Formats: sequence, C-alpha cells, structure tokens
Amino acid sequence: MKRSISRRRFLSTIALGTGGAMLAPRAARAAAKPGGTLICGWEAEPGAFDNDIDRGAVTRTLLHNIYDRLVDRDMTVKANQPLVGNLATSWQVSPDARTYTFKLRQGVKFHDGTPFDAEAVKFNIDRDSDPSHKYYNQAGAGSLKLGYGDLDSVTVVDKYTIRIVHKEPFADFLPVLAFGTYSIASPAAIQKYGNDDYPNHPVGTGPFKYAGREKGVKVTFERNPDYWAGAPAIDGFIVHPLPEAVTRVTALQTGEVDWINAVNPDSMAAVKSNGNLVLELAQLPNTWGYIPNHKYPPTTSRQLRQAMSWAIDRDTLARDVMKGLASPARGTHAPGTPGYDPNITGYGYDPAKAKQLLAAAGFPNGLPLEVWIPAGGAGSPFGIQMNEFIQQNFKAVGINATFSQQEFQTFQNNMANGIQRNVNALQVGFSVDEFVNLQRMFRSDLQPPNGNTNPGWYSNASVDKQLKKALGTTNDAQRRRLYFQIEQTVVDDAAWVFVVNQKAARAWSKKVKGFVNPNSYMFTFRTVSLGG
Amino acid sequence: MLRFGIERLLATIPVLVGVSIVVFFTMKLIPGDAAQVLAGPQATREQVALIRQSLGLDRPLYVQYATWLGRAVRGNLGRSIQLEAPVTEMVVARLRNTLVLAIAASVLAVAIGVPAGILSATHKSSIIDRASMVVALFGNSMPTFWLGLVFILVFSLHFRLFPSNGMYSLRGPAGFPDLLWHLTLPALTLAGVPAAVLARLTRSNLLETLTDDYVRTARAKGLREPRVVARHALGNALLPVVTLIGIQVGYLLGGSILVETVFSWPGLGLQLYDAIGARDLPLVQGGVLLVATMFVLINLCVDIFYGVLDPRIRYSA
Repeated sequence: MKRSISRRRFLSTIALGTGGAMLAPRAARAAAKPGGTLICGWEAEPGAFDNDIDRGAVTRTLLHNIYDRLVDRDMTVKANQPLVGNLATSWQVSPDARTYTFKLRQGVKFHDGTPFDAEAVKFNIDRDSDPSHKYYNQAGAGSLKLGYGDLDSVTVVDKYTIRIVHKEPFADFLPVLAFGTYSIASPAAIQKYGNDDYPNHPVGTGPFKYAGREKGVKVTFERNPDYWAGAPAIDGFIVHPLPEAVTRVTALQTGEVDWINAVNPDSMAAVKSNGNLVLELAQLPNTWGYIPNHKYPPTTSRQLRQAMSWAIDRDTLARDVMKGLASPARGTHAPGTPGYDPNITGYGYDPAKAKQLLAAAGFPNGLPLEVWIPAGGAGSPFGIQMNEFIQQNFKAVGINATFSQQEFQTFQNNMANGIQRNVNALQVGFSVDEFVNLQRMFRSDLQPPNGNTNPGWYSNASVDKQLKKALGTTNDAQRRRLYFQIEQTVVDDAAWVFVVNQKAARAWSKKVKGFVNPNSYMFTFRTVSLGG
Repeated sequence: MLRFGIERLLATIPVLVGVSIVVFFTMKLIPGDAAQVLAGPQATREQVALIRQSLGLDRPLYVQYATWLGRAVRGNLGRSIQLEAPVTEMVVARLRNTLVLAIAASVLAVAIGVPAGILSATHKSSIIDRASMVVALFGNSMPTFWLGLVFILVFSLHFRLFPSNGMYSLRGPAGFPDLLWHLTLPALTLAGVPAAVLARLTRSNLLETLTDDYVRTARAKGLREPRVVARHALGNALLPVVTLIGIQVGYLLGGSILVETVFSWPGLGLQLYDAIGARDLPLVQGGVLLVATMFVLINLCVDIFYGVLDPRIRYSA
C-alpha cells in the first residue's frame, strides 16, 4: 500500500513535469478501458446475504447488486425512479387487483449456471409463504409478510409464465415486489446449502456475483459476464467496513478506498474542496418526525397536533442544525422520490398560529408533553441536536416537552405494543419509499398488536375507506390520486408531526465514472467504470 | 511449584463460572431477544413466538443457561444472527488479529515505558525526567479513540506515511512488511496508556529501590552507577512491573475495541462493536465470554510467572 501510494504520487509528479498534453490521450484511453476493482468504504459490516431477510440498508443495497427481482425501481435513475420490469418482462393485473400474471425473461441464468424460470420463482415465493414447503424459511416469511402474507395461490402457467393470486385486492403488489428482500435466489443453491448456510453462499441473477467474504475485512463481488442487461464494466467491487466516520473519509482522501457512503457532516467541506473527489447528496425516502398518541389525551386533540406542527422551524433545522442534509418535510414522502406530490400543503413555521391553536385546544397557558426518543437518535447523526432544537421551538409556543431517551429495544417494544398512556409521542425516522407505507402507517386495523407501524393508534374512518379503495384500484394514475388525497388528509389531521426528510452524503474518487447516486437507500455499481 | 500451579488453575474454575453467569444474564437483562431480530419488523407475535420456541428462548432461564454453558464448554457458542455463521469460529478467527495488535502494543508499551521509567529514575528531577513524566501523564490521560484519530489525521492524511485502516492492503499483495506497516498506528495508539503507566511505575519502583541499603553497599564497593542500576536495582524494581504488564495485556484485549473500531482493525473488538450495532446477541455473548476468559487466563499466567520469579509468593500461597 505504501508503495502504491508513493508510486501514484511519483507518477503524478512525472505527469506534472512532462506536461499534461502528452499524457492526456493515454488518460482518456485509460478512462474508457473496462476492468478494475472498485473499493468501497462501508459504514458497517454487512450482514449475511439472504435474499429474503432485511438486515438493514447497508446489507440490503448489496442484494440489489447480487440479485434481481420480478420488477424493480430503476436505480440507474437519479430521481423518481420508475418501476420497471426486471426478471419479469411484462405483467397483467386482474381488474379486482388480486391476480398477477407475469411473463418472465427468457435465457437468464443464475450465477451457478442453473436456469431462471417460473419454477424458480414459485420455489422462492413458496419458501417464504408456505409452511409445508421443504425449505420454508420462517424468518423470511416474517420479513415478506406484506407481499406474501395473503397469497391464495402461486401457479406455474408455463415455463416462463407465473400467476400469483392474492386473497384480497392488492394493487400495491408491484412496488412491494421491487423491494430488495423480494430478490429471487437460485433454488439449486438453497437446496445445496440448506436454509441455514445459504446466506453464506448467495446465488442470484444480478450484475455481480458474490465471491467471498473475510469477516471484518472485505466482501468481494465479481462481475457477472452474462448479465442479461449487459455485463458491468468493472471486474468487481470490494466492500470494506469502515465504521468510524473520520477514518472512512480519510481512506477516501488518501486513495485507500474509491467510494464511501455516509460522509460525516463535519468532513463534507474537506471532501468538497478536494479536487480529486466528488461529493453528492441523495434525498432519502425518509420521513423523520413524531408519532403522537391518538389514543390518550392530550395529543388526541387535532388542534394540539397542528400547533406542534406549526411550531417547528424546519428550514433552520434542515439548513443549520442538519447542515443541509435534509429537506423540510411537508408530508409523508420526500421530494425527488417516487411518491412525492408537490401539491401537498404542509405546515410552515408560524409560532403565532401555533399559540392560537394551542389556546383553541384548551391550553392557553401551554402544557407539558412526554416524548420518547430512541437512543442514538433514530438513524440520524443529528438526532439529539434535532430533538433539542425542536424542544426549544416547542417551548417558544408554550409546549414544555420532556424528551426521554429510551434504549433501542424498549423503544421498539413501545412501537410493537402501541404508545402507552404515559407517553405523548414517539420520535421516529421511517423509510417511506412507496405508497403502500401509507397503509402501514395509518390503517386502523394495523394498530398494535396487528403490526408495529401504527403505534400511535391512528384511526380515521374515511382514511381507512380510502386506503381500502386504493388497494383495489389497479389504474396507476387513479391510485396515485387516491394516495395523494389520503396524504393530504393525514397531513391536515396532523396524524404525524412531519419534520424533515433526510439526505445521505456519498462521495467518490473522480476516477469512478458513471455512478448514479439515486434518491434512495439503494444503489447499484452496475453502471460504474474506473478511469485513470 | 507444580502444586502452586495446580492450585492457581483450580482457583480459576469458580471465577470462570462466575464470568459465564455474568455474561449470560447480562445479555438476558437487555430487553428483546434474538427471535425479534430474526423475525423482522413485519412479523406477527405468533411468528416471533414460533422462532423463540425454535431457538429454545421460551424455556426457563436456568435451563437456557445450563444448555448454553454445556454447549460453550464443548466449544459451541451458538450462531451469529447477523452473519449466519458459528460464533466460535468467528470469535476465534478474530481473536488472532486482536492478539497480533495486543502483543505488538504490549511490546511497544514495554519498549517505550520501561526505558523511559529507568531514564527518569536515574536522572531524577532532570529535564529528561520531567519531559518523560509529562509525556506519560499526557499518554495516560488522552482518550484512546481521540489519540487514534489524531494519529490518522497527522500520519495518514497529512504526511501519508501510514495507512488509516485495515490489517493489510486491499490493492496489491499482502505480506509481513505490509502487516507491520498497517500495524504501526493502531499499535502505537493502543500502547499509549500502558506505556505511560509502565513508565510511571518503573520510575517510582526504581527510585525506591535505589535508596535501599544493598544498593548503597554496592555503590560503597565502588561499582559504577550504570552497573548498580542494571545488575542490582533493576531486577527487584521490575518485579511489580511484571504483574502490571500482565494486567495491561488483559486491558489491551478488552481495551482494543475502540482502537480496532477507529482503525477498522479486524479483531474481536471491532466484531463486538459491529455485533452490538446489529443487536447480534449470540455474537456479543460469545465475544465477551472469550475476552473475559482470556483475561482470567492471562492473570493466571502472571500469577504463575510471579511465583517463578519470587519464591516467597508460592510458599505463602
């Protein structure tokens, strides 16, 4: 390593000395030349690569590189990624939104050489939904309950056609199938290694093959030369865990790694000012805010929840406290992500109005609130500062909020059991990437104990009715309109106190060409090439 | 001597049982369990209950402890939830890397700390004494992770002398020189505190010994000062230092968690850090048990070694 750095420095010195003109054509040729291994600094050690278990974003994004799904959000597009066919080339949805018939891509092979076909898809779905299946995966079934929880039948129509029938209308099935954990794995590999050991030998059809792991050091991926959409230009990539943020940025600056995720806010200026590096923000489909307790007073008062919403200075919070790593949230979906509607009217910063609403709610002299926040700040590096800032905002209008930090699991238990009487709100950072999340967040029949995504006991009959209608609406444009109406209703209702949509800072060396930094937790290295 | 060794060995058994009880039940005190992590946020309560049953987590705690201990004694520490691999295999592989770092840091700590202490003692109140004691105070007081970050910023980023992370280069061949090169900064960082402690202890012990009667006699016989220090005083002065070195090696094993995280050194500490972040309880449990056991065993070795050095100890025991 020492030698390679000094060699590079030596060469760059020569380049300066002999004049750029002579070397320029050579550099251009080098940029176009395929091959090379991309080294990526990861913020944590990725978990095992089960195709069907969500081990968090640091692992899930790698599933998108190993595996394909029937349909996908196109991560080679920066914003508003369209839903595209992946292993399915076309599909038909029955008018009642229960039956999905997929035509599958032909001639695709898994990395182990076995063919991809309708039987393989059925094997994957049965494995995560049918307890009598030989390779039934209980944890997978739990993880994929949203998509496969109510299946009526899965039928192989012919070698390249599969029909999936739901018991209830499920018009949101396609975007759910695009989620990383709906990846299609090689049945032969699962049979060979068994459920327990398969995650250490993942085999998909994706652009990169898993080529081994040295725990704590690296996970290696090699290009799939037979990838149906065209083989990647690079020979492969290495994921190198670098949990300490300063070390991660330093490794990029010294050239030890080529690409990093989660640049820490304090290092952003140094990376930006470095002529050899690129720093780009990606809007994440993340909604950070508070879930009020809709079951026990005082947050059952809509006016109080609205007062809380008007009291927060989101612009200052996003710009100064979060150093630009967020957008002020107007509703459930972040700008630049597929579910965003620019016409949603949210809440601005208006302390006077907040005070007025507070008085109208019966609290002219203010009131105390107990808010629980998860230890570590719900996935934001600014979690504590954000809550402190908002505490001041609340105080300015008369809401004296006490923020109690709770150990992760205690907090999770409150999510699973619902917010109890002694707590007025939970602070959460939710991934809201598809409309189907509105179902999970606001349906009254998904209150605890039937789920943990509506812990605030939100219940609104008209929202329930509309959500149900959306699940039966197969026309995309109509369903989209319906969801926007629902979103506007829950925003007006202040069902949640929406605060910000977080962004991620990713950075890479200028020799990395063609990387698309999508507005998503997911990304692919399929389009990347390495230049001089 | 053999009897002393066997006695000490037998005495570690209740300590190890105590360690296993603390490790097991501390993990149980944390709310939530492996079943919840495995099942994911979408799972229903019934599904979590089924997984809990399949993992044996629904049985009484003492049964779980007995099962766990029985397996642990046979070398089976369970299975990592996040990495789907046997914990024993994982922690043993990573322990090797931690030992490389801990031994390098121990060697550095002794190589820096002991000579600095001797120099200070033999040049009491001189500029050398004052300077080395100020450095020792600094080394003792600086948080390890801060020192590591400063080293990275200065020696990796600014001077580009050493790599900022890892155990070997990801580009190009990895050999012994490459390992040494990667080892330098983390080992120096980790050696900071023990070197400082050793320097101070060596200094105070040697100063005390140098005022002993037999040393005065040696001087009176006309021996030159370096010989007095090296041949007569040092042996006795270093006896407590040996104990301290042993304790410091134990500290280095446990204390490397921060250094390993800062430098992404693929040892047990980094693994524990990752496992805690991923709520991989079997892995945390296995890692902590291994570190604690190592600590007990190192102390056992120190005890026995001490007995070898000083016969009075094995007789009084």
